[in-house]
Amino acid sequence: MRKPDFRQIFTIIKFTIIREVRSRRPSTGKARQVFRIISLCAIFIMSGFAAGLICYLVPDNFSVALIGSLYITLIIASFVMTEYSILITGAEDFNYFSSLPVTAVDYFYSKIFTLLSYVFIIVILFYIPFSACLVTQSRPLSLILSNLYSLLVTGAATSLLLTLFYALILRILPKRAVELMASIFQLIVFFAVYGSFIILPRIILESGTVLTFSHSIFWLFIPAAWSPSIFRLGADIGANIAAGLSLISLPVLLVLCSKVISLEYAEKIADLNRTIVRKKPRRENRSVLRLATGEDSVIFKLIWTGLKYNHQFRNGILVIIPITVLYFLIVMFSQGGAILDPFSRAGIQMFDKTILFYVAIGFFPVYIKNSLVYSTESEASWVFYTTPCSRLKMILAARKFIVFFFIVPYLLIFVVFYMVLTGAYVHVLMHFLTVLLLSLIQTNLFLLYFAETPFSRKLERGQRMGLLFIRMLIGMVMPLPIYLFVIFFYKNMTSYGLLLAGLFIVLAVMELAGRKIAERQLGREEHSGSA
Amino acid sequence: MIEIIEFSRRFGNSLAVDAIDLTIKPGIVFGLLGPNGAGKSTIVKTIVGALKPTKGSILVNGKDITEFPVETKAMIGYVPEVPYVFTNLTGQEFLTMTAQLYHVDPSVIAGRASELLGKFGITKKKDDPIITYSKGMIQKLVIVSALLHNPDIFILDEPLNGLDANAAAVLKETLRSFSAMGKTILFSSHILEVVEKLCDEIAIMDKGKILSSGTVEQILAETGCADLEKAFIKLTGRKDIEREALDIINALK
Repeated sequence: MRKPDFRQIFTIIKFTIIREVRSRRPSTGKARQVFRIISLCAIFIMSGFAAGLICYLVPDNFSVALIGSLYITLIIASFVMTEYSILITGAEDFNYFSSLPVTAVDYFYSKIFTLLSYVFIIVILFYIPFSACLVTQSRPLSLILSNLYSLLVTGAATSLLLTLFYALILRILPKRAVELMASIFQLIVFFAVYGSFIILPRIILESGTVLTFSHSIFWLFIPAAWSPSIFRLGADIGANIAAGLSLISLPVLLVLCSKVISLEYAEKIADLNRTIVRKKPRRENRSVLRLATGEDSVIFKLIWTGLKYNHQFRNGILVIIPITVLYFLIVMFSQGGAILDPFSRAGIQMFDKTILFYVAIGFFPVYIKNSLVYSTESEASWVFYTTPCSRLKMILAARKFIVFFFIVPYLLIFVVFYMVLTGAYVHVLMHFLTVLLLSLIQTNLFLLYFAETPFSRKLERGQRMGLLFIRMLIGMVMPLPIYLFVIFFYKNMTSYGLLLAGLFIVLAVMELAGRKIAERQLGREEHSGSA
Repeated sequence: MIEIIEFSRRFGNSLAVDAIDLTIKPGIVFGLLGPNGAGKSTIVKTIVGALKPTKGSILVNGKDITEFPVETKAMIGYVPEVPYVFTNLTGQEFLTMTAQLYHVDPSVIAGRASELLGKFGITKKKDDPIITYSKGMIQKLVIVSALLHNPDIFILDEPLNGLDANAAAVLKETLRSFSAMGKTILFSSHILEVVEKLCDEIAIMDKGKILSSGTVEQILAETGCADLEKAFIKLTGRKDIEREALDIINALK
């Protein structure tokens, strides 16, 4: 193996950092860039607070370290997964470096340095609020300081493990299978991220602590528990092995990564990022596409071809389905007894147990809107700016897609589900009319009051992670109104009637005002690409 | 007709176009010439509605592009400098989509698209996804998409990029026929020879300002140069081209 050329490594790192910092378009402006960085940092800081607050509920040092470690695993995993193309190997790296005398060794060192620098920054941002919470809990200083070690090792190992995973599937599997594997893996990580932030606190809240398993051998199978095992050193053989594994995991992973990260790998990543090429032209016979005309037709066509041929777009939209199923199953299996007539006294009292149903509905507008606006083909959106089409009509077409393909089917499933379980047909229909109106209001809020032309924005570096957490937070806040409605307006028919009338009025006013606001916002928009 | 009045455009602190006045009359091919970064594409993108003016106004057939964006866009056919397209669509799908956005009668889209694709020699590829097209084919496709609605005004930003000689000849002939029909044509380029041969009137710009405009003869008379290349070099401030070339060679020694 050739010796590393440190001058070359330094040059690649230097210009990678410059590219990262300056990765903005002339028309997007510095303020937006600063906002993006601040919001990304805020996510890591907030996660540190969240993990720190949960630690109030656990007594022992190991559990505290484990909570931190689990959270940092999820954060680093989701960050690497959402930004893997720039973190592990930039898709554009191959195009640039392939014609230059850059060796695999130098490329590896520069990439690993960039990756671990990101991990270090994220861990520090997470650690500061996390340790602040531990200080307020009067935890020992040794625990607080040792946690930094635990978090750094876990974070670095997670990022290297994911890198290795990607590299291996790229080596072993053909392109199509890699796309499928990458999609499934991405779904699992999204699943874990969305699920964990809601489910982990719930589990801990409801069972006090689940983290003190009696069989220490169990922790050997959870890599996130390896480095926290330093707090159980000497307790038993399992803890000793786990702590030892955390120590050797990093050098082993580094050596393994050095075998797989090369420009050839960058080429494959670049290839993977490209849009799937259709093998055979097909005759379009979708009746929905035929019925639609004008702007509707254009948006439906682009969504349809995107879902069929662009795996990034498909993942962006379809990831919402397993999340919805996850929430559905959680409520069914853990809170099945709480599904009652929402107008009955017991139904009102137990309503909070079913709130995850409504989290999913809250996700739809914000999640799908972002997936439609941020596109890998945003440069092609010049046609929307230079032709006499109505970009408002495009947004309304996107709204139709969200309402008819996600909200309405989802609500229909729940109407059937509730009717079967409660038998209160009229009350169920009334309740779901409320939910439908509320979700239409929420959809209008995101689409018309924060109007952006579909397929018009390019995802900038670090933005995927920010969007992921913003979607998650908004999705979690969205069920709050329905909870309040049930508590305050479901007591009698008069208050329900008032609620319904109020919702209709709000929807009508929002629709009228929203269209005007959207027109104004769209009128100020410019095409940000180079076409 | 396109009237550009006191138009400026800023990107952050940088002034891309600085208070220019220009009138592009119908029935002629008007060439916008300038070195890289002169502001040509900014003017073009603003006329077609992809960018907004910072100051001043632009009138297309008497209508202000800011006040009547839909009406003015409907009159324009635009070929962008970089022809990005939705690569998942087939050529036919892209043309249908663009025609729908221009509100072309659905009954004429397929026939017209087929005829125009034939003229540019890409009929066989029309049902293939655009991702399989070469650069030149994409350029031809975008030219066809700009013609589909039979625009009164045709705006082309470096349209010959990637075109083969036959397609370039077809395009030039089309532009001449359009001008004979009284349509307005704005042709932006940095290739002097093409502009000189094709355009009836020219504006030479640099650093966001119009340096000279008129027919080739008028510009030559104004600058006192024998040909357009020398006039261009003189106007854009490059004094001694031979000396600059020699400096490059010397720098490598």
